[in-house]
Amino acid sequence: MNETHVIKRKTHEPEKFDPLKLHSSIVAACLAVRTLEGEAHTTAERVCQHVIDWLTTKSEVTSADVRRVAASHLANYHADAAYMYEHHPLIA
Amino acid sequence: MTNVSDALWPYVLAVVAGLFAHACLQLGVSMLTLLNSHAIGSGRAHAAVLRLSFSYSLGALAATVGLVIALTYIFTSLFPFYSTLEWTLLAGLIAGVGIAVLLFYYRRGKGTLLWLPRGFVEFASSRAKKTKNTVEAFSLGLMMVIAELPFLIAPIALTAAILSGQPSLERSIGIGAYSLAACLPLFSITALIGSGHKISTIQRWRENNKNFLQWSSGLTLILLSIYVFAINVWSAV
Repeated sequence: MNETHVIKRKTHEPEKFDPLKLHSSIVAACLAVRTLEGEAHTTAERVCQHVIDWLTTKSEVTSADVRRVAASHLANYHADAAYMYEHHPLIA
Repeated sequence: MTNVSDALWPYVLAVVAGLFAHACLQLGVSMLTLLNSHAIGSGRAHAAVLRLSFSYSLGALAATVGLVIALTYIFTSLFPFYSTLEWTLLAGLIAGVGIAVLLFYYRRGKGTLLWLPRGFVEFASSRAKKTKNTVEAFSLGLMMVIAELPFLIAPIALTAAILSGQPSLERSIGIGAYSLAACLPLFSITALIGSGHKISTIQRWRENNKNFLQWSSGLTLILLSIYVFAINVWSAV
């Protein structure tokens, strides 16, 4: 996999894509809708793999792109978690 | 005694309408949703999540009680008797806030983004994320009521103005009842979370009904201002 950089929403600075960070945010979204911990980790692994596959052809993406793509794949596994994941920055 | 009660009813109605508008305002609920979302998402025990949620609601209740008491005290000290000028100013404030709710309360687009500056929301969201104990949750609840003061000032000022003319027992009951009822949405969400409801269900409901809440709150305040003006100014002319 080539090294993909993510442009952060707040700072507009590029940052190396960190699959662990994505994994923990998806686990948190799953747990927030009361998914069992094991299922949350399995779902996060699957979604991360989809996102990594999507990133293979890209050198730079925005964090909003990553969130959108991850949410669309997460929706296939857990609609409620996908809703919370996508809408978390839009709550207040 | 019957005459006094009869004379009070129009004011009780005004307080209830103000209370409804107050309860429709959503900053406290937004931050409670975020707090619960972070607390449940980080794998905290159910009892710990409930403690945080309840402390947050208590903080909001304390701030509401404090604000109503402070304004009641200020009004009692400054205006022992209300003339038509004071009621006109109060009606103007309520109408202004009602129009502001209709125009600015929610930002356009998806989600339930509120009028607040984004820097403040990011600060409050990061505080919600870092909240680990009940004292922090209590302070966050308190802070959110203060942050929403530009909108809450109208129903709270009306309640304070009406309560300032009452005997101390009725005033204390009124302050307690108003504050509890105003914080009822927060305690209801805490109860829903406690009974196992998903945070996504609550947030979906909020998003689907945000226009209804905005219009109900804004229009109630505008109608309330006309009502307050009518019963205190027109009837006095």
